[in-house]
Amino acid sequence: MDKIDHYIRISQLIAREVNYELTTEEKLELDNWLNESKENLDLYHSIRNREKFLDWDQQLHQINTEKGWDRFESTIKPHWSINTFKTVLRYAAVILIPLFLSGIGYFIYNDISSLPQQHGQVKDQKQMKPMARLILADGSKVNLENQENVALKEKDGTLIEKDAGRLKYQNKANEDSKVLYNTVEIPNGANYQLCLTDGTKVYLNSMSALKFPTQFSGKTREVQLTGEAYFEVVKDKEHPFLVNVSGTRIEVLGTSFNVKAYSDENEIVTTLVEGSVKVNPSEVDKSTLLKPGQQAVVDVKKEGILVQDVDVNLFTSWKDGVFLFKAKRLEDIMNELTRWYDLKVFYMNPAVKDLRFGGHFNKDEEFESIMEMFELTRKINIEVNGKTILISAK
Amino acid sequence: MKRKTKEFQQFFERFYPMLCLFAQKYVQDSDVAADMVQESFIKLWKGKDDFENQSAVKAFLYTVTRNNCLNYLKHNKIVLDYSLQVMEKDLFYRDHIIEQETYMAIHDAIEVLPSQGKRVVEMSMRGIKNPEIAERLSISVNTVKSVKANAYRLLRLRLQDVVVLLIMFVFL
Repeated sequence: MDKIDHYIRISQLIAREVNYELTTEEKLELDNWLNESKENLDLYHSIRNREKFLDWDQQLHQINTEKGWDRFESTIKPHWSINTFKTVLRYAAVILIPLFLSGIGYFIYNDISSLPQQHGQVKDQKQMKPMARLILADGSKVNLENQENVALKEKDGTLIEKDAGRLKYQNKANEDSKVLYNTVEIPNGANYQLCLTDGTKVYLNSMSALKFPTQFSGKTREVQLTGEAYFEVVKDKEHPFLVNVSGTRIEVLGTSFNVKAYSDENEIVTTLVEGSVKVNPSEVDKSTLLKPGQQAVVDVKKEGILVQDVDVNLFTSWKDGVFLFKAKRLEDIMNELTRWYDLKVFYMNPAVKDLRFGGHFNKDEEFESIMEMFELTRKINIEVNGKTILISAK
Repeated sequence: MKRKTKEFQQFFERFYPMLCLFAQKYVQDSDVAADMVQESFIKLWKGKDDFENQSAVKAFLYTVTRNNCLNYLKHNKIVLDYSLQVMEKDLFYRDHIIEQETYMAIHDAIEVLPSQGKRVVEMSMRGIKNPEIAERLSISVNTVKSVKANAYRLLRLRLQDVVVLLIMFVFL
């Protein structure tokens, strides 16, 4: 058995070397193996031939796995109970789609372009959700979910263009009128994109709201956020952009960054992609300046602030419609999933909350198949009852 | 070994294609290869063996498939003695396992990319240059570049995890 582990290890090293550079130790490990024998070196060169990989890839697609399983299934059928047969029927939908399962079963992905049937199911499931809406200065509400393109006009004359999934505020010449505030609220299962009058772009995540003036006036550009948003702020040194989020103020000159501050998480996480931002927690005198690739975590209760280096992809992939996790606690993953899928999660054993998972899947994915993927890791049992999820230890 | 069908099926679907390609290295004929792999899975299903982890199951499947193939070749006297001698060597066995495993790892990492990134990477692996990719997908060359950069960053992230997490995965 040791042998095969060694073969797999070498394979992984070569695969990784194809796509990016190895760490120094890994490089050394691979080099040592290559220097062991001429056979190793020959094998290495033969594998690293791109044409050969492409041929292999083509052959792989010619294998009819479905037919193979049908044959296998008919051979072993007599051993099955009625129950297991039901299970297979339940999974029949899954067999038909090119379901990816990585070597460790952790990575989760379906190519939505090849999944028309499943797409339909997702839509059905999302029909009954609350609306994304815009609340105008006088309190009137505009449904943001119909696909029509419309232009609205605020009391101060600001023009607001709405098209599918996006709102754009037009800059207005005269600035004498008093400041009006609009609010955009996004329920679970939706994202929304806003373009403010200064050209700043805001991507609002599920269960989030942003309050902002229809026109920026005065020395600063100030907005109020609850939940999560990704900002691409237009540079204007004279008028710093300020994000207020449960008592913490984030000061920006011109930059892209993500702020996550859901009330059930008791922390405000600011992740900087480019530029620079200053994070000022309330009642803490010192402010913290972030560099690109850094993240500030403000603990709302303790009023502490922690700065760490992170992979920003993990914190911003949501705006591109992707869930991306890496060694993340199950409870944190589930919190994120509930905001998108409107679920209730119950943990039968508190310890499972701390299990860590990595994964990657599109937000169009049906949640049942995501839950099945978690089960396949064999770390946890998941029971789905409509919108209620019960998670227990294996 | 618990015989939970749905889990077995997921496992089957995951490893059947690469085992078929592995078997083809011995028997050449794709239908015969499929038969050989089929027998290996039946042996795994009916067997009483306990496996510690996924690689132990893989080792079982590779070994049994190899033996099935060699027996088939000997029994049917299809290949020359010389070819058979080469195929019987451990090195032949080892080389093809490493080839399958490497290609599968690369394939898996590409497969989980967001769909646009996946298309861009696949095209550029086929030697198609950025301007042509841009034209085919009706996007700008700069977008191709940034999609590519992002895709390679994700690939890197994934392949890193595979190595770390492989150790954690327990099949049964």
